[in-house]
Amino acid sequence: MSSNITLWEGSGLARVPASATTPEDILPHANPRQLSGRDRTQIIYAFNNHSYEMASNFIWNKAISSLKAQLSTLGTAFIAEMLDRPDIPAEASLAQVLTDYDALRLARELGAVSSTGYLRLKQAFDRIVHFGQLVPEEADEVEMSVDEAVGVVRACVETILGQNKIDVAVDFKEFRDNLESSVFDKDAPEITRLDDSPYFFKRASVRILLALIKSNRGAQLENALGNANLIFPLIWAELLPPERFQIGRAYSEIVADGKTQAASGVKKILLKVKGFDYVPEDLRSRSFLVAAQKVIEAHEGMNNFYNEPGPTKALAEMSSTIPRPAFPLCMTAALSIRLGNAWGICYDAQSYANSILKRVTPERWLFYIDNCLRADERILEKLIDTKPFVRWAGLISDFDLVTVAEDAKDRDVKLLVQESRDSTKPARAQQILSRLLKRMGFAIEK
Amino acid sequence: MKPRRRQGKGSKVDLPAFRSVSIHRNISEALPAFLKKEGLNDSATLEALASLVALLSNYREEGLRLFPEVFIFDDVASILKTLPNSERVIIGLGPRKAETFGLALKRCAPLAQWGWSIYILRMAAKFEYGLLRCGLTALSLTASELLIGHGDRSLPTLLIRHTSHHTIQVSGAGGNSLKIHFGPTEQPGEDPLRVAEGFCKSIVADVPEILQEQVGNFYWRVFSGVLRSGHGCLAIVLKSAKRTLPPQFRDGVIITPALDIAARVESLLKGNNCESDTRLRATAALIRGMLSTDGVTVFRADGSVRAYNVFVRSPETPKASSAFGGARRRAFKALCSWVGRDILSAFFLSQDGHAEFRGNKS
Repeated sequence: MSSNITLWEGSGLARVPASATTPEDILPHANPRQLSGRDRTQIIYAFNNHSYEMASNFIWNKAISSLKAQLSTLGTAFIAEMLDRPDIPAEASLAQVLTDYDALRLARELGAVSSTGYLRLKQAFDRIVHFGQLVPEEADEVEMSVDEAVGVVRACVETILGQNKIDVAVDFKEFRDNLESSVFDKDAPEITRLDDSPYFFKRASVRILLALIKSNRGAQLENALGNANLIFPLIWAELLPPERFQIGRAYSEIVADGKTQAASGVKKILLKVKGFDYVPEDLRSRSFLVAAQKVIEAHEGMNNFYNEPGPTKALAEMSSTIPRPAFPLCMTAALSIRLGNAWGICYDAQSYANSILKRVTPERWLFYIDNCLRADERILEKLIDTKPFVRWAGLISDFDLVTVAEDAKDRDVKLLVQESRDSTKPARAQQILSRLLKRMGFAIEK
Repeated sequence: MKPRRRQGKGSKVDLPAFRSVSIHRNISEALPAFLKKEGLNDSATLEALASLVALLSNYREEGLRLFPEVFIFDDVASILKTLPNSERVIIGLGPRKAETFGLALKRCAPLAQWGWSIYILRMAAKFEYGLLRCGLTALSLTASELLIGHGDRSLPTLLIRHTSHHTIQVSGAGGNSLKIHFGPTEQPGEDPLRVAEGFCKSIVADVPEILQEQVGNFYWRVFSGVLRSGHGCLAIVLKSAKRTLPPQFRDGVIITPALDIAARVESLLKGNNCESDTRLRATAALIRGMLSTDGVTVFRADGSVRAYNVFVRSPETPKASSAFGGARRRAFKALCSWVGRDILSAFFLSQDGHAEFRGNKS
């Protein structure tokens, strides 16, 4: 199975010469429609006044706003489905509900930015988040350096502001359009390619189809259902529980909204794949999903070390047993707090995160490790950084996850857990991590 | 006693005949083929089902007529999984005999309202019975829609319910259906359910496309309740362009502002909250009440309710008008004469369950 086959290619980067090392060199490569002459002057002025953090924040906000504006043209419902965020209502403004990290993830998934562009933007974002959360006394001592600020400017110009228009990949658009305009034949090249693709593309296909089924009517709905009826059974065996639960939840929502044709179509598919175990029995899991999403939002947003305790406490106090459909996201939320980011952890939120993790039974740990971790890019990407990896090693030891992972069927995740025991020897674990991300469809780049 | 004299050869005498005619026999004869097609055939079910249909035909508790829906199936776990947000209340268990169905009806029928339906689970040696429901809001698809309307042969299920005051329908997940009439006459013409469906499509003809399906479902449920009620009704749909009521429909109760069902449905879909749900359910009860009063209920093609209890005067001269039919039928005839001009469609339901529709369905 080739993991190099891709369905859609991300946009390239705007050419900024490697020799460009100052804002004066880099900013002329920004598109005037995205960054006005006045903006450029202000950024250069801030640099000249050593206000590096201010300049970085300014250009970051310009870039991320532009990215969110472009993504919002795809429609809120579509974006919510692609991010598997049932908490985003259809009438919500994406600029308000989409976190910066969500926007970056989505841009990568839709091919709006290349994987290199994504990596650089993510690093720039982490930098801005870190310096933004320092207390005044700390901020005076550890200022953002000129090199760090230039790195942010370069990432923003190269990836977003230097482009004429940020748009999703043409291949992706075509694939999405085809899914609603006609029904694929089972021998169609798109279907063959999908079958051979890394997991990320299969997951994206599920999400696109669910978004189309939820929002379309008439012939477009029929086509989307026809394609789902072909694609879901084809990839069902490979789909991990988070995606299976997403399909089950979609069925439940469609039934609740009284969408007869869509419900009938999805029901047929679920009968075909024997997937009704993934339909939530009640609304309880939805409350957990919303609570877990709030933890993740706090963790990935600005001032995360101040904002994490509240929602983490709320999630910890919800109930002793997390409903199955919400379990993968709740684990991502609790692990995000426990592992922190490249800059540290929120100490006040640790006790809540630990209380959630302590209630996870060995069977559920095994379920997460074996069925969720390998597609949980939020957690996998954290482990690339040294500090979260060291904390991950601590977690492995605290919860005796090596013993738990002995029964894991997926060889790579089992090895990742085993090789993470010793945080002083991360090389082997990093290799496995790289392999897991490649299997997902995301190349690991340093 | 004097022996009766023998009749001459060739002469005929009609001896008194004592025949017994049973509707139970008719039902029993029709059911085996039906059950076989639905994959639920066995002698115990056949006998029990025939008796259930007869019991349901005029089921009363404390003098009150009840119209419960009854599901019969084998695999309760799989059935409940296909019904999101479902609940099941087990009431009892009995031998695989017709008496158990009767007891199930006796114990469950008074409880089978506000979305609850009776279920009978065919177990190896017993029949379990109880109640089930599913759905979150007034818009959620119902158990009958999911298990029968969009049923699948892999989950064999039967549904027994009234489709009109004097008609019981036995339908299956495999798409087969058996209609049993208990009325004084066999109803001619189109299936009342299909007729009502056509009228509901007409009510939502100009509802925004995004809400059309849900508003249509809302009205469909209102009208299927009316069909069972045994009360006749008359209703029309005004064209959307008609901002005010045409003069011939002003002799009645005009609702100001009009009941905007599409807005209520939209509010529920967006907010998904208890308040919007309660408002929509309460509105459904209101419209059912309007349809049960004498006169014409006036809808508009944008899904709103404009007036009820409206009395119309026939445009025909008394001499020309036919003496056929009662006041409601004659009023319907008058309404039909306006279809295409002021109104989009007209609907008629007689007390005995006969339904007619005139106009454009979409």
